Amino acid sequence: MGERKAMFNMNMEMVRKQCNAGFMHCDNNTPIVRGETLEPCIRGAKKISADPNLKKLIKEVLTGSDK
Amino acid sequence: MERTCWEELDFQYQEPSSEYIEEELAKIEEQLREFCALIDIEFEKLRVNAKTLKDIIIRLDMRGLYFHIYHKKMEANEYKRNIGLLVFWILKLRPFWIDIQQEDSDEQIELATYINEKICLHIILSLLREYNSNFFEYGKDLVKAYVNELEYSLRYRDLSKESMFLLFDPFYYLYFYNQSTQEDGTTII
Repeated sequence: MGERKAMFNMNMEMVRKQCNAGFMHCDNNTPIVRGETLEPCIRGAKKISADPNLKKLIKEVLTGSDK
Repeated sequence: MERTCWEELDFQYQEPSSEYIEEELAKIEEQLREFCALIDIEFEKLRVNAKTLKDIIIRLDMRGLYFHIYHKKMEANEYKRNIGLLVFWILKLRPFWIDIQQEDSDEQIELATYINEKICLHIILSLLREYNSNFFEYGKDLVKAYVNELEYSLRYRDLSKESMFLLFDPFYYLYFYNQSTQEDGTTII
């Protein structure tokens, strides 16, 4: 079988040109602080508990006592 | 043509060490203690399937490896990791429960029924408090309405990992915006 000459109504040169163009897209949102896992949530939780007004608000929403 | 190049690969996933697993379990326990203290329930009432929690830790590690390989050594940001991944897997595998007693009030039954969603909400709100504290200054009614809607979504709507990545992306960018904005409103960039 000979080499393919065309595909999708394009010659192989055009097919290969398109395939080789550009770069692979990647996600790259880096962390605010590297190397942490749940630490920011723990810090945030302690800050919630240390603030009487915020603690009351979050407690109301989590326990449904605002409904 | 066969994809034979993969036959040359000699890679097998290795689970994290037991020390790493236990460190992560300890962090989850600390978060849960904060949760229980906040809503005034005894920590001892909260039941946990540790094997499922280990499974969740491994799922997060596997996704971290995926990002490293396919996204050029990317490390997931805090929102992707703690909301898109950890919250997703808690909602799916439901490792937490509270035994319902005969004498429990309606509120206690409600809490026990929605315990996984409420723990996830606490994780989300804790992260927002750490990096987007001004969210809580938008007015009590607005915050409550948003959180109630979020709780409904966590319970009843189809939320993929990727949709949660996207949902909380604005908060990630808002953090950097707030860090970079100068007093006259212009940005450092």
